[in-house]
Amino acid sequence: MSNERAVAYLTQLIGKTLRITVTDNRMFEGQMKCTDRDRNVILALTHEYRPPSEEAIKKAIAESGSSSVMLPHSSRFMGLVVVPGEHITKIELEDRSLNQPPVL
Amino acid sequence: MAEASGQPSPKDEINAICQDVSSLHLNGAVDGHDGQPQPLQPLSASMAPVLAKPVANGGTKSWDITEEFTKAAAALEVGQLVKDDYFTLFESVAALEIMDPKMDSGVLQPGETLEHDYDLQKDLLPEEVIGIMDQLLCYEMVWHEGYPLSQNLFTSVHLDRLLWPEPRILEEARFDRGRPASPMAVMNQILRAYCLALIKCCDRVIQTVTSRDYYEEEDFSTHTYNRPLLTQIDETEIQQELSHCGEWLANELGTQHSMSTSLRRALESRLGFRQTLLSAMHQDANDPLNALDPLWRSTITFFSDIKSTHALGRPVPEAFSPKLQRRLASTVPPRPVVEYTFDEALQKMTLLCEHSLETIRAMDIGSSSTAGLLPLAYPRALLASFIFGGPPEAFSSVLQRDMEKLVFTEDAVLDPLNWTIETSRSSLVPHDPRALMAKTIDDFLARTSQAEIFDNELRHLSKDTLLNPLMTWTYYHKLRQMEWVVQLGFEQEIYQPDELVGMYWWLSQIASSRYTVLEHILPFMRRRHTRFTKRKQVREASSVSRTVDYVDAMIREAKGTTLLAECLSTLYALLHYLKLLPVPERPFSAPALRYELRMKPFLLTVEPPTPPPFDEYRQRTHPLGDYDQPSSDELSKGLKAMSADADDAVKMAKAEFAALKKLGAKAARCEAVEDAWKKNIASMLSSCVAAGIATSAVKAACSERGGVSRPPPLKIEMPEAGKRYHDWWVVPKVVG
Amino acid sequence: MNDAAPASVDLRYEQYDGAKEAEFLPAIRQLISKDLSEPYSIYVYRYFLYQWGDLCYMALDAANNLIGVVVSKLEDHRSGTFRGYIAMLAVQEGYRGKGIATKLVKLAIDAMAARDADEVVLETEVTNTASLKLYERLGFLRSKRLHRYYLNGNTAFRLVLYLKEGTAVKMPQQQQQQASYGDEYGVQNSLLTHHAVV
Repeated sequence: MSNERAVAYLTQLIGKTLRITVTDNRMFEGQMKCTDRDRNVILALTHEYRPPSEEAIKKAIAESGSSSVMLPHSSRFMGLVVVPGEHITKIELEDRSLNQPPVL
Repeated sequence: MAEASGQPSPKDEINAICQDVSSLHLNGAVDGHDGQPQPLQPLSASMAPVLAKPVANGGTKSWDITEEFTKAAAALEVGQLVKDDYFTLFESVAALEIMDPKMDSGVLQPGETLEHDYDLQKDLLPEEVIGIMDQLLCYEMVWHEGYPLSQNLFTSVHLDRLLWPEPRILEEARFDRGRPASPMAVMNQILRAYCLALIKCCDRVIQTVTSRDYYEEEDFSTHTYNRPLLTQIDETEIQQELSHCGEWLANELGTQHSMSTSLRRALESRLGFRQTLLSAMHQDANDPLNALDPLWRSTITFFSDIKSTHALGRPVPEAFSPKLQRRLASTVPPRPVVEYTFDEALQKMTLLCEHSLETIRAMDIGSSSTAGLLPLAYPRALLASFIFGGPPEAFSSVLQRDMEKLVFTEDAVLDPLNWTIETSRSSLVPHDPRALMAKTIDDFLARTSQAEIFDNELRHLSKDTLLNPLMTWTYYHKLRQMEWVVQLGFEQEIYQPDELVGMYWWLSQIASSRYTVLEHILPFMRRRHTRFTKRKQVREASSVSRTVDYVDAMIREAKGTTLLAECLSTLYALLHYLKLLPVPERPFSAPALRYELRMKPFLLTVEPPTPPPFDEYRQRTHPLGDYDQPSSDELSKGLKAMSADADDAVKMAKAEFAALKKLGAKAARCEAVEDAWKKNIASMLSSCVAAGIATSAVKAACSERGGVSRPPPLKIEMPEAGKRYHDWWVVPKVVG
Repeated sequence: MNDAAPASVDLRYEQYDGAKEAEFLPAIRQLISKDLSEPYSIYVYRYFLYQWGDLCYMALDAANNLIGVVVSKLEDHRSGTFRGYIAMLAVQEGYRGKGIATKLVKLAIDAMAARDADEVVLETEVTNTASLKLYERLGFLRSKRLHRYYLNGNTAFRLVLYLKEGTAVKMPQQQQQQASYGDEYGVQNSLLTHHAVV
């Protein structure tokens, strides 16, 4: 892919809300400010979302007696973060104004 | 709460569906583009199948762009950035790196979970309640010392449960939240009441500190991680809980339960301490000072019981978990939990109460506070709130009283009819006063010129007034602050050993100027005193007599400071000439540039002392020429003369401080802090003695040796701050 | 660590070159993050190296291994001075005590002086005697004690070296563009603090 096309694509994402999942299954949602060749992404106004632990799920099931339970993700504000490319497992774009994702 | 996905899942592959997480957002911290928090679509957890298609929820859509993003990024050059034009690399410096344990407090070690396993409903023993209360006090003091709550109190499982989610009413702040309400065990109720009062005290402290214009971030952390500290709950409700528990202990428990008297006393003293502390902290600057005084006093009375019963407590380490930190909103890297011993913590709490009491007493009787142990942020803010937060008259009266005790004693100028002053609310008592002092010197410069205008007018209005009273007063305070800037430099170990000749020389210049100012006031006050005595105006005479004593005491102090500084300056110069104290080479800097840097706080002053040109300064601090190559003519004579001067100076300094000691704390207007004042004088006298011994040793070495070809067989030890008799006086130890 | 380091080493001192980011940036990051308690993300390095790469000097051995590095910046300060700032200084453990750090700092100061700096400033822990000695031997003076400056709770001294006369009386220019506070104030302060291991 040409450098020009890559820059054009990534530039569209600047300021957009990304949800980046990392290797330990936490998800970070924030506005994209910057990235580089290694996918080190800077997000602003970031919240961390952590899925409940396996134990917590087991415990909740045991207590509820049903096979499906609702458990909250825990979340907290973390502000400005760098998500290093090497730890990223998934990048999602959130945008309600778009009808389709930007094309590469 | 969002709907569960309708699909029934196998038991070990459950969809853990997230709650409407937006309700957990902080301050509505933006995630919608319109700035409104909006519901997020359900997120699938790790075990759930990936959402393949965009899902609409509250108008939000999302797409998996992992592949495209990765491809595009890979096509960038090394070092090439795609970034928001308004986003600078400077801002990026503050970003926390995810998955780096040094920066990301959310990283878990393999097998580690976020949950603590402490059961908040279990019945506690009285010993355990005492143990938890005492640990809380330790963490409370760590917080008072400036560490953020995440590193201390917010590791308490009990506080965490009481505070989050935020209770709307006091009833909701319970240890068994989220469970069917059941009667709480008595001991848990006692702990709860203590915790509630502790939280409310913290809330009050934060409000007092932040209500001031200025505080240094590094001194005190007001961050509560978006957890209000029962701010909305009325203090009296918490007081009731405490009283309730207190009564319980006094009446029921003693009979129904087999608790020993000592355990009961331990609990009572802790509850009592919280109760009075909370009351004391809930007063404000508009309350009469004499109402506050007894509250702080009685808070202090609980400490001996708390101390003696500490051993009865049983620590409950499980009730504190550093993991709680990882759930707090945090834009900073994780930091270690800070531990104080109980004795340390209790001592710090005692000091906090004593300094607060001192503040009130000082405000009440117009006494000065002393230097000495640095007060915590709270008592400093308290002082500031009395001076600037109360009615305007409070500020005015502080200034007025200060002028009265120095230049306007029994003077018509201070008659309320003649006296109004505008309140300035821009200043505060800083923790590290050195830099701020330097700034206020500039303020005083401006004020001196204003004072000159007023003084000229006063001269026409009143014949019987000290010449230039306002200028005298501002000049006096400016000099004091200049002295403090230098003295704090010694205390904070800012100066290197070879700078001491110059800095003590400079200190002696400032202190001798202050002495001159005081000498201008003294004869005027003496004449006024004589006049009142002759006229048998007893009250007036006695009032002026206090000022005479005060000025006299300050003269002793300024003179003693001048002389001791002279002695040390000369002594250090001798040590350099005798090659006992080396001077570093410093290839990258010139002496004149270092002099400029050191004199920076004083370069704009216009009245004496002004820093002299470098050559003159150099001459004054090197009377016999370069330390390395002193002028050889009559060198030994010069050294002898210098050592004799140093010897004379230290003897006279000692006599001045001894005279000051004799005049006493009352004369020095330090009666509210008499013990600290006495200790301070004693330390200065000890410094004189030590300086005398060092001077004698050097003097002997000078008279024994004709020249300085070989250094005398002496060794110099420089005591570090904290290990000196007085931190303002760096007295070398000369070891034979 | 590096016990095999020879007693006297033949090192090359080289100015950082942005074109060689791929070669040197990971090594610089590794060397600095290995010993310093303050954590820095990759963007911290970029902040300094993209703008002031010419004030960064590296000590390299014959095999091009990075033995030591100094990272600095130079810009207008709100006090009105043109202020150099030494941000990071590190030397591999086995090579310490051989004057490598001093040499690196000298190179950085010379480069700043050549660019007309008024002063050079840095912070270092009050307990880091090796670092204090190094700078004070060169001529730096302590100007301020910064209470609990570092993330680990340690207190720092700010050290200052004047390069020009009249620095103390410089005034901020009116309407000066917003000056940088990074080395003194705000959240950034914990991330922009200087640590030296020498």
